[in-house]
Amino acid sequence: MNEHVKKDIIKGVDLSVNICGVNLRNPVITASGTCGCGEEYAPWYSAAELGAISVKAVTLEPREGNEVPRICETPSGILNAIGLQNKGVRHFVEHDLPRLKSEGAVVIVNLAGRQVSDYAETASIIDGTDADMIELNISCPNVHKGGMAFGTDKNMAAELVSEIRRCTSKPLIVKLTPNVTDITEIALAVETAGADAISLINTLLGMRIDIRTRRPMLANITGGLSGPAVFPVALRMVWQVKNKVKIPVIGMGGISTGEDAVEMMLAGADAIMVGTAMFADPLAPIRIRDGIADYCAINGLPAARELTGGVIIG
Amino acid sequence: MSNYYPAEIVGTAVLGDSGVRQIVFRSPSIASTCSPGQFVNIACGGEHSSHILRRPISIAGADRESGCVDIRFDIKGAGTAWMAELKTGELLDVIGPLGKGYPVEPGKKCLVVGGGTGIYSVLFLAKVLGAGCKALLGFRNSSLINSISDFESYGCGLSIITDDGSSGRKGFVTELVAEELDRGGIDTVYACGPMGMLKAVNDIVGGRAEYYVSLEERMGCGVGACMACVCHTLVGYKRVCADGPVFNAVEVCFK
Repeated sequence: MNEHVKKDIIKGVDLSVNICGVNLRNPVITASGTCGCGEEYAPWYSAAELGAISVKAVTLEPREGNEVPRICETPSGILNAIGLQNKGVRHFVEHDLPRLKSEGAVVIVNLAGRQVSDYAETASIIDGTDADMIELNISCPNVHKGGMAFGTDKNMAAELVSEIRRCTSKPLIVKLTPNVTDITEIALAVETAGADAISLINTLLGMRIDIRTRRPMLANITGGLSGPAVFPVALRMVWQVKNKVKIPVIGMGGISTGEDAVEMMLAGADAIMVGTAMFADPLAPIRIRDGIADYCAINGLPAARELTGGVIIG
Repeated sequence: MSNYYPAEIVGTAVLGDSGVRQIVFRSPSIASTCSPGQFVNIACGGEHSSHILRRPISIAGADRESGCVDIRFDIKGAGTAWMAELKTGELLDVIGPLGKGYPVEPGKKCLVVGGGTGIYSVLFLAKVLGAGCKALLGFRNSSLINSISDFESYGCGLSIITDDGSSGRKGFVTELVAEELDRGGIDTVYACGPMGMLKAVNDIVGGRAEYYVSLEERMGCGVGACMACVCHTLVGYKRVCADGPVFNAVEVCFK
């Protein structure tokens, strides 16, 4: 192994994983939309300590996002409808990406769009940078054009992925929505179209009403549910997808402890993402990393990657 | 830099008939670095809690010598109801200080304006400004009046008004603001309270003084990462938790 490759060895356990040729020092990635571009969590840890950071979605042009309220709490979860607010890909490439790369972070650029052409143009811009991977967001439930529309139709998903495949030689992760009848259909379609990895799940579409005012809790009316409430759904979908595709799978959805991360890897995840858990505990990614190491050490596993797909069925 | 570790609760109280709760906790790092207008973010429900979001509560006071921080809050839902049951000696899972507070310039003559739960954020400001400010406080009715002796102890002037006239004068705090401004000599107005009050005060100030507002919005992360708690400004959305909660009113688009 290249001695310059970073790998975390904690309690004698090798935590490093390899996702489409990119080495991650540990399997813990912060999920897009929950950690900005890493800056806000700098008081607690550097993005370079993570396996990778998946940055807040970037779009070709700046986006204002939705009206407030954009968030509300639900039992063991949250509903959000931010609406992809961001300053546009050029701002990201000029300001955020150089800082993250100089810190030594592995950077996954989450990329969103309204139609194939602006997804493609954004991907081409990212292709010319030193970003490590692209995560194609075809699963945002909170925008009215693009987003989840691509992720709920296997033909549209495949068409978009093959177009983006032509725009970039960077490893291409496709982030799937759980708001479909059969997620394995979409997973197979994007794999065939050229995806290098799959990440799942984005949020589950939900809604709450304030019974005192009889108004929806969110200005957008509906929003995406995340947090521990969705963990069993996410785990089931990761397991289903892993059984159908050959490419790496990054599992997310409600992971808040090291035990959850282990469970997600046993279901088939090659790496995991942590999002909502950071709102309750900013140190969640570090705690989860250490929890994975604890489990492996106690169970005599020399490397965390050996967890992947380790569920015993039958 | 924000701190994050359990802080021991050194005192709790119910403030008179108002039902408002006070918790004083010991956190030398927060007490020594916080300023008026900043807030702390508190985890509710204990271990294995189903409450995913922290509750942002403005800092009502801090004492560097003892390392104590004072927060006051209404019981608004399950999270704050849980906080209200906490006892002295228990630990509070708290992150802070967060956000940008009120800019304070020495020697200025100021008004601090508070409505409802907005009075706690300006209470801390009144402590810092002391005799350099006058506090104008609005309550819905007399039973909700609280924290008055604290304002008095800071040596600031004080006027109180209630919506229904059940204590003191009847009317809205905006009337008091108008009268004080008409007298002249006010350099800066600071306000925290409902959006309607902040907007009405903005109309009354009308450029006669510097005007700073503390905004409230439902928050996610509390540290500026998730973009949930935004407000409209002249340059687009800004984050209430990280760019605020205190803003110069000239940049805020009041609805």
